[in-house]
Amino acid sequence: MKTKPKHKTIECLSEALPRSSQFKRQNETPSRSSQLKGQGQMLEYLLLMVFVVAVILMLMMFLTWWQISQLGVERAKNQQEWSLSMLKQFTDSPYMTKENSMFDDAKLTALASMMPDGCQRLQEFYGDNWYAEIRLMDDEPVTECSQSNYPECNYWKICEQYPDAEGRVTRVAPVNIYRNIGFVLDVTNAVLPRTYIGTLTLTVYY
Amino acid sequence: MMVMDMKIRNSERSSSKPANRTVKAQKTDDINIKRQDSLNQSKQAVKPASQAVKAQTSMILIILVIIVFGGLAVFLLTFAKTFSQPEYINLYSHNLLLSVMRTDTGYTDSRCRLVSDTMSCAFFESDWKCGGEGPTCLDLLNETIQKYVGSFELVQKSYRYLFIAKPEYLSGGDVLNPLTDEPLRIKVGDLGLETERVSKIVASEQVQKTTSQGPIVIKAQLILSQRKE
Repeated sequence: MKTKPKHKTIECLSEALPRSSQFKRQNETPSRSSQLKGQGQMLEYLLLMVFVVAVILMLMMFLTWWQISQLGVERAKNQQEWSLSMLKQFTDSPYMTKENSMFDDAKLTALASMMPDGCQRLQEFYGDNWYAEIRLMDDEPVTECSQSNYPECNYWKICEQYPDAEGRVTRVAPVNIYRNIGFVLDVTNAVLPRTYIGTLTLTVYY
Repeated sequence: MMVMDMKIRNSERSSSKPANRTVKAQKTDDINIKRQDSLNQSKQAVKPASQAVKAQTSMILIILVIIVFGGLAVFLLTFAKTFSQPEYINLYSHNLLLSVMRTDTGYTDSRCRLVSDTMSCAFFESDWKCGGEGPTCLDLLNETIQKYVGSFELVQKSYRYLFIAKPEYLSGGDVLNPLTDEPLRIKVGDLGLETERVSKIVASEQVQKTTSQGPIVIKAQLILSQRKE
């Protein structure tokens, strides 16, 4: 009995198959790995793209925030400049001062308590949304000046105060306050003017 | 895989019947298979290296983006600092000096009435007593400067100050002390401020006075410097 060797069968099979199909079979395993590799690369690029998009979005958000904050800064800057300009105008105002940075207490008393439309008149010159206080530094308790208590007072308030007003900027400046009734001489009872030191507190708001 | 390929090729070479194929076609297939083998081998060798390079490139790209982004943020944030107010502080210090010098001391005699009056008296009439039995001009000047300047909230809270007064002739040149031959000076406040190398705001004023030595100019300076916390 004649038996065919096994390797012969394989040889026959390999002979029976065309060369092109053998070539395809050879490439079957690498194509699956390359497919996986492609998927990996896709995932890698996808992650990179997600990261880049996230960075761009963050950049956009940051720039938007920056623009908004800059607007706020600009607004605050304008407010500061306005308050400073008002302070300069106030210390040189002929309606309230005797000379530069020296307030006349008689003018202040008239504006603060004797003229009901004193604030409105000043607002015609200096604009709206501000109020001012002038305080004499004499170590005495604060007494607001009016027609009835003049000159036994040391505080003047110009325009209504709004302590809760939005966007308030307050400036304080040292000033002098000239008082016509300053000294009363003991011997002759003569009255001499006196210059005091005090503070001007000016507040501007929106 | 490689072993399988070799077996197939050996079997092809050992077989005596080419089975409807020309010798030329068989040779071409052999060359193709050899090329494929060498390609696979080279791919397997290059694969890890190229992947590492790609990963490095991605990392560098990401780091670059982060650096650019961070740099931009830092650059923009440098502009976001709260702006200082030099103009306001300047105005404040000038007003402070001017106001102090124009303020009445409480004495009515001409040498001691205003703070500016007491300065010339302190330089040239040091024995003079204000109000007859009161303090000397120099003492009164020291007292009033300390009281008035120190009473302001800004100075109390966050600023140091030094007041300097020096007389000069109208023609120029310092007025000298006849005993020591040194220029006359009055200093009140933090004396260290004069020599310290710190940021200072200086306000200056001049007062003209006629004294026994003729007309002179008294130059007054107020130096303010922010306290270090």
